[in-house]
Amino acid sequence: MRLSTAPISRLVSTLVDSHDHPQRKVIEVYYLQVLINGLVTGSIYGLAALGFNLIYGTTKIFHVAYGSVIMVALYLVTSISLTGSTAYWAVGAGLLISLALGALVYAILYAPLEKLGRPRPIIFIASLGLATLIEAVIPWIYSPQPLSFYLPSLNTVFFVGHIAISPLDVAAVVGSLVLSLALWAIIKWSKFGRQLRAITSNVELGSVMGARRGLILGSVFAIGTAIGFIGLTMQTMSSSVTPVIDVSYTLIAAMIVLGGGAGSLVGSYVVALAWGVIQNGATLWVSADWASVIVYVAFLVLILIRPVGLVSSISKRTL
Amino acid sequence: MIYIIQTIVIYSLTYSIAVMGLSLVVGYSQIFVLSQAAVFGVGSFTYAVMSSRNITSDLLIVIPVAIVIGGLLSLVTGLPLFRLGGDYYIVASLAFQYVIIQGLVNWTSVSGGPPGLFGFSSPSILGWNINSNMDFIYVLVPILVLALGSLLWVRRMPYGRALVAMADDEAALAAGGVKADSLRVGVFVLAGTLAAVAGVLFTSFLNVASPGDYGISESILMISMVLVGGSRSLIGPFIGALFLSSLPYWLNLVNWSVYMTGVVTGVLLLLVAFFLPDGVAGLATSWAHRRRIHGQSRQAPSVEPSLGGQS
Repeated sequence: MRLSTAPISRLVSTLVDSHDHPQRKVIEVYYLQVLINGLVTGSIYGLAALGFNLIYGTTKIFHVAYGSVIMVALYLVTSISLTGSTAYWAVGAGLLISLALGALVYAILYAPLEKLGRPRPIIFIASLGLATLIEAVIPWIYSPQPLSFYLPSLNTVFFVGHIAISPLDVAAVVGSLVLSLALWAIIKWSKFGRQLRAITSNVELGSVMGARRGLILGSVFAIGTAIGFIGLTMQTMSSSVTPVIDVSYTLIAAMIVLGGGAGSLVGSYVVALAWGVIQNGATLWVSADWASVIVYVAFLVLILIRPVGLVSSISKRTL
Repeated sequence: MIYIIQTIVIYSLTYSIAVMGLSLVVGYSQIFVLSQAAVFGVGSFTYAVMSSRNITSDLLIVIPVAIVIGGLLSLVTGLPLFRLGGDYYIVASLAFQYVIIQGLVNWTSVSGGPPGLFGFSSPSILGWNINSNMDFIYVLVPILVLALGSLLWVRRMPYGRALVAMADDEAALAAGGVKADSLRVGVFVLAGTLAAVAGVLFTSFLNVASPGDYGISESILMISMVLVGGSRSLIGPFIGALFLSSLPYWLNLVNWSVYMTGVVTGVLLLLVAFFLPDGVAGLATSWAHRRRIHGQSRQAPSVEPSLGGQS
């Protein structure tokens, strides 16, 4: 009877029915493990969304080449090193590369288009063009085959009670939390953050700022790309690097940002964690094939019920 | 050589049908739809399933079925347009695209899974077997004319004119109210049914349907056809479809890498954004416009609608 019901009611009935049942502990651990794995996945998605949110929330540019630019940085890292301790240095270099690439994309693509006075739909076309270009060039130069990016020291699990955790999991959860808080604090308290908010809230004021504005938006693109790079690196370290990872990475980041409420750091963080938990739960209880479909449908339902996203930043500016 | 030319003609005519309606959606509603390939794919599988299960290969039966299925699917994916606009709809359409195609991949009993369906009987119309390339062209041309007629009819409708008039003004578009919204969804459904019909023709020609061919990159290719050709003119999608759908053939002739297709598409989109907001067709009209102004004595230039806002 218990096995035929839905997962949540199964959990409840397990806890209620089998007070002294020997299996109770196992099942609790099982649910806890799924929850932890979901939070890890969600934290990585949170990083993806954080970078995208910074760019989209500030510039309102729908940067659809977001994941593709990050993928360029990641592939440059793969040509330096993918294994052993040198891989850590390579990732460090990749962080600098992604900062530079982000600024470069703003300087040679978006800034000139804004100067030409192109409206947002046209800027989107340019972004789409950049993504298409990168998606063709990367598998051409490198190979379309997946590259293994597996660092044993980061993926060796240890046990807390009965829960298996890897150092990478800890890094993902802590990293996304720390970066989110740091970004929030910078935007809230630093001079850079104040200028950033000025640009976001008042376009005319932003244009008065002149060259300073370009510098700030350039750094927004640089920082956003670098944050996204950290997320994508963590995601590929537990799987592999392929030249098509950018599409789903951008799409998931965009869905989380819009679902959480564009410009709201809290909203997108909550949606990212929920996303990871739902996806991991669905992988286990439905099937891996349907898991992503279920989460995408959940996003569509959310966005239709609340078109402004979970936390609306229109009334209350969080970013 | 004649075979290659025929194939290129068939490809570009099929893709023209698939993206013609899309150009109306992009050009006049200012909505970027990145789920067109999914509806195209559903049309493909309508033919593939009906033909491989020996139900029928008669296009006069399969096409109406595809119109119903594609239309209903577009209605479901288009209804959010009542609530979502701009960037939100881009993301929603990508999510729809993913859900539809991934659903098709997972539904193996119907779609055959990732490899898809292949090797079914050739299409027919009332017992006339469509075998040669020329036969296909004879079938494609009247369908194309019908599709073109339906687009012209929409543009002539009272609210169609309003749509054209409001194209440049997002605020006016938003203030257009429910009737304007209904028309946007209506145009969207029309675009979807045309894509589904094109999907039937595409698969009946290729004799293969594989879900992987109708992914996000195919949707991007289809919207690129519209944007490169020019979304504001009737001829634009033809130019885009002719060029981009035949591109792999040209590249193959000169032995260039298959990746060149993506490179060329990407570069073209960048060029459109920087220099040609109204696509290649826009270039032609603005050239004609300038000639007209030069021909007449200096008059106040009338403002042409432009996706670029300023030109």
